[in-house]
This record gives sequence, structure tokens and C-alpha cells, in this order.
Amino acid sequence: MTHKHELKQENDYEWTIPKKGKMKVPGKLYGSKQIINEVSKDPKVLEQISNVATLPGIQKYSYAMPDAHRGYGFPIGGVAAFEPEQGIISVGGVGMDISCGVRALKIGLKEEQVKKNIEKIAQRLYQVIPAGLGSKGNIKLTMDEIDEVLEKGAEWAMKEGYAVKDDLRYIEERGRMKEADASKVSEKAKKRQLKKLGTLGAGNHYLEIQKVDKVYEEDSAKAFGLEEDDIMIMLHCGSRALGHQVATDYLKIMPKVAKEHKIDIPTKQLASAPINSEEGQNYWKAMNAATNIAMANRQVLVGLIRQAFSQVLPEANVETIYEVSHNTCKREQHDVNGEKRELYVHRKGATRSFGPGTKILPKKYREVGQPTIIGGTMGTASYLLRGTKQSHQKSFASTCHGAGRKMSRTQAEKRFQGERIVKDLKEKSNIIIKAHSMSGTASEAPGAYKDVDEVTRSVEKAGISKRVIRAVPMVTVKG
Amino acid sequence: MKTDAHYELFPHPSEQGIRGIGPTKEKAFEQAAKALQSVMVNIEKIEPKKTQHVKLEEEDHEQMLLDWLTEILYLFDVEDMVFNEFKVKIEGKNLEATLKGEKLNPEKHEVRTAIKATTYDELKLEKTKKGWIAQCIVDI
Repeated sequence: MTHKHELKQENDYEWTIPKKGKMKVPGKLYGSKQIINEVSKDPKVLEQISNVATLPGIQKYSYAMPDAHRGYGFPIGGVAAFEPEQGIISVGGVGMDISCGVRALKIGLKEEQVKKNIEKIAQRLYQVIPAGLGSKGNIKLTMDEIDEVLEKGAEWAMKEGYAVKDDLRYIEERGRMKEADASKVSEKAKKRQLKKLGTLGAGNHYLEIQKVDKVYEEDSAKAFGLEEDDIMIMLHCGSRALGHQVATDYLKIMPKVAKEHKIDIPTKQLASAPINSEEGQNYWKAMNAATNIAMANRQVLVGLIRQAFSQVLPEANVETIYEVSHNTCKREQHDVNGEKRELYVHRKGATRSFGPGTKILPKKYREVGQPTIIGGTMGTASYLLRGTKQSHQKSFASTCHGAGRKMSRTQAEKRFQGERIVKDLKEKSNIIIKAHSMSGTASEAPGAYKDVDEVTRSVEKAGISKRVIRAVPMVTVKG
Repeated sequence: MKTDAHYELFPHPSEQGIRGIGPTKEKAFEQAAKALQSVMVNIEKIEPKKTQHVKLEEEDHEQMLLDWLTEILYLFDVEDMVFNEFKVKIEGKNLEATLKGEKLNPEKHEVRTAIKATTYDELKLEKTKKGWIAQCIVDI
């Protein structure tokens, strides 16, 4: 579809793309006028939202969160739910980095208590966290061992001594996708991962030490175990090479499957299989296995972070606040027209944010709602939000995942210089950047992203999540 | 007028576009591989110390282009290899290639960023007045 897409303002923070052509449902975008102006500058984003709306079995709307920007197939920031009888499962709706996500941790110390050791901590983390292009983990898996990781996720990491019990409690699905099936993952995908477990990766993945600089809701912050000036850690990475290969493998077979099932797909990257087809189920099991790899990977890294802190700041007590993925497809119960239905909710660069009272949340968060982790850039704030009851109706309990890019990597590398960013952030904001690649740092420059403060303000105003705390970076370790 | 074989990177708001251009389809495949590798490292610094061979079978040549690029990502993850010399032969559904390069040395090769995967977005393999173009968006 290349025709122009009309954007209709519903209220200050809600916009729709009316249904037309092959769209089965309308599109819906959340964001302030400023955000929507930014988003709609790229007509491809509206086209991608509309393309998703043509897929069989889609429910209510094809959604875009305020950090939406052009992806491939789905927009980044896209959310779409499908019913299991006629609906599809889409590789592009999950993304190539299956279960890319963020873990938020606290250390039980205040800025004052870590300030004088911060350089030492930064250096130690840079040394122990394998990051950057071609980095290898300390764990060398055999083909048999990787099958165990694929089926057990973070539980495997716990068995190997990289976790404490409370870590798993605060990971989505307690760190293990039970429907994972290692036999649905290709040998090629497994081989690509043998040396990669426990690595951060490159691109926009990072490890950050932050300070809580603003509390929006005292009670919710208390439930998260945080108050002003507390030190936090955020870890952003995904399923590494295995997830990328799983996505590549299944994307290759999907156009043929779509054709066989007479699914009309607007672009190849949206190629999908019916949920109840053999191929759809194989992808579901393989995607869940890749999710286990992502959760195991983050857990191994948390083990290494703990080790680093015990060496340079033994008084730190590194505890998990929560871990949530933002490239996923999850089977969840949602209300559709007053009826409870089981749906396959795709979130591509969007975060699940269950509201208060959701039964599957850990007890500690059941009253306030799920912690939702929004990463900023190396020079801007990150946020912890919480889910709202309205978000279940408004966005299948989903919200944004970050700031969202506004500038291409090519442009950013031309405009910014890695060494300059590192120097400026140190001098102006006292932020320590430990990066393995200066061109990579330039492509991730804070100026290449939208305003995260405006993005999170928008999701709150739209009612799809509430801000709990804001945290500013002190140290960023990048690939 | 046909231009000499070369490669380009083109922008995408969140990912990266790579493009190979050449007088033949094979040359465009070779240049697309160089473009892919150039996102990851400074390819001028790679020495052709080791030779590897790739064989693929795929009827759809657009898909073959993605399979070819994915194979290079595979050799990187599994064998740490980076390449800057590619010789591609395509006959019908068969691709045979010889690649020359060496194991990654992050300092020597001035590492840039990692590529997660190829995508179908802006995938193009076509003959133009300038020659053959082989391109796609890669996920960073």
C-alpha cells in the first residue's frame, strides 16, 4: 500500500488511521502532538501501521506507541493482537532480535555511597562484561548443552550459579518459556550461539549505572524498592546470534506458507503463518526457545555484574526489580467486546505493562501494576513506569520501550563524533562512557533519538502507563 | 553508462541499508558482501590470509542474496572470520563463492557495529542502466 494515510485526532493523545483498502481494523497511535508530528514525518511509519492492520485475525487496532519509528514489516513501537482460530503469527511482528529486553536492578546504595568508587566500578564492569562486535562469553556450550538452555532459560543460568532465586521471580514467566522446543531451532542457529552466551552485543545494547533523580509516585516506587538518589542498573540486550538466525530461518519459509494459506501479505517482511498451522506452531516453539536464550543471556550477565560489584563495592546488594522483553509474541487473556479471549499479542519494540490486579504478576507488584522499563540514551534519562488498568483496554496492556530514533545511523555517524560524545558527557554531565567502538557510539548519540521525557509523558497522558521514577545515567558500558 | 563495481550504505531510521553495484549480478553480490562487512569493520584493514568457500542452492535470486549475506554473518559468529575479497559464481540455482580474509582482531580491524540479521525490507536485485543492484536493510 503506498497511498497516503489520513491521520485523525481523537483527543490530545490519541490518533487513528481510519480503516481503508485491505485494512481489517483501523490504526491507532498514542502520543502528544509534538510526538505525532515527529512520527508522521516519515510516511513509511503510517504505511507500516496500516499494513499490519491487513493481517488476518487482528483485533481492535493496529497500534503504535509514542516511540514509534520505521521498522521493517512492523513499525518499531508496533503492537498487534491476533485471535488463534483465523489469526496469524508473524516473524516480523517479533523482530529479528527475539526477546530483546531490559533488566532493571537495584543495589541498595545511594549516590553518596558509590560516588568515590564510580570510576573503579565502571572499569571493572567494562572488563567483565563481554561486549562489542565479535565478543565471546566465558561459557563454551556444546550442542547438547545449548538444547538445555533453549528449554530452561534463566533456570539454566541459576543451575550454573549465575542467579539467586529472587532473580527468577521477577523475570516475565519466571525466566522460562515452557512451550519452548529446542528441536524447532536449526543447527545453524545453535552453532552461531555456542560462544555467545553471556555477551552484551553491540548496537543499542548497553549496561548502565543510574541514579534515581525523580520520584513520581511514592507508593509505587516503594513497591519497586526505590527512592530518590538510589542507584540502579539497567541491562539491555537480547537473544544474540541464535535469535537472529531463528528469525532468519522462519522468515524464509513464511512467504510460501502465507501463499499456501491464502494470506494476502502487503510486504515479504510481514510474511506470517496461521497460528494453528504446523509452521506457525513450529515458529512459536522456536521463538519461545530463543526467548529462553535471551533470558539466560541476561541472567548470566547479571551474575557477572554481581561478581564485579562484589569485587569493587562489596556492600552493594544487587537485586532484580524486574525484567521485561520488548520484542515478543505472548499468549495472553484480554477482553474483546466484553468477552475474555486468548490472543497472541505481538510487541515489536513495545513493552508489556500489566495493570494492577493482574494475577500472573509477582505478589509484590500485583497491587501497583507491573514495572515497565523504558531505556533512554547514554546521555538522557531512563524511566520505570507501571502498568494501568486502562492499558488492557487501550493497548492490550502495552506501552513504549524507549525514546525511539529520529535520525538514521548513517546521519548520526556523519553528524556526531564518538570521542567528542564521550568527552562532552563526562565534562558536562559527569557520565562515564565505556565503549568498544567509537563509530558505534556516534550512531547511538543522544541527539539521534527522540525526547524520552516527552515519550513517557505521552504514555502517561494517554493512560497506558504511569511514571514511577526517572533515573539518569552515571556510567554506560556499550558494545 | 555502466559504473564500476562499488558498494554504498544508505540510511534507514533505525537500521542500515547496504547496497552492492556491479556490471554483473555476481559483482553486485560481491559488493553487497563488502557493504555488509564494512558496517562491521574497516575492511581496508583486512588481509586475505585465509580462504573459505561457500555453496548455496536457491532458485529465487533475491532470496539467494539474503542467504549469501547471512552465510557471511554465520562465518563471523562461528569462525570469527571477516573478509574483504569475494569471488561469486552464480549458475541457475547454484551459488559458489570464494572468500578471503582473516580472523577478527578488534583493534586492527577498527570494529564498528554488529549486524543482527538481513531483512526483506528494501530488498532489491535488479538490472539498471548503471548495472546490477543488490541491496537490503540489515538489522543492527
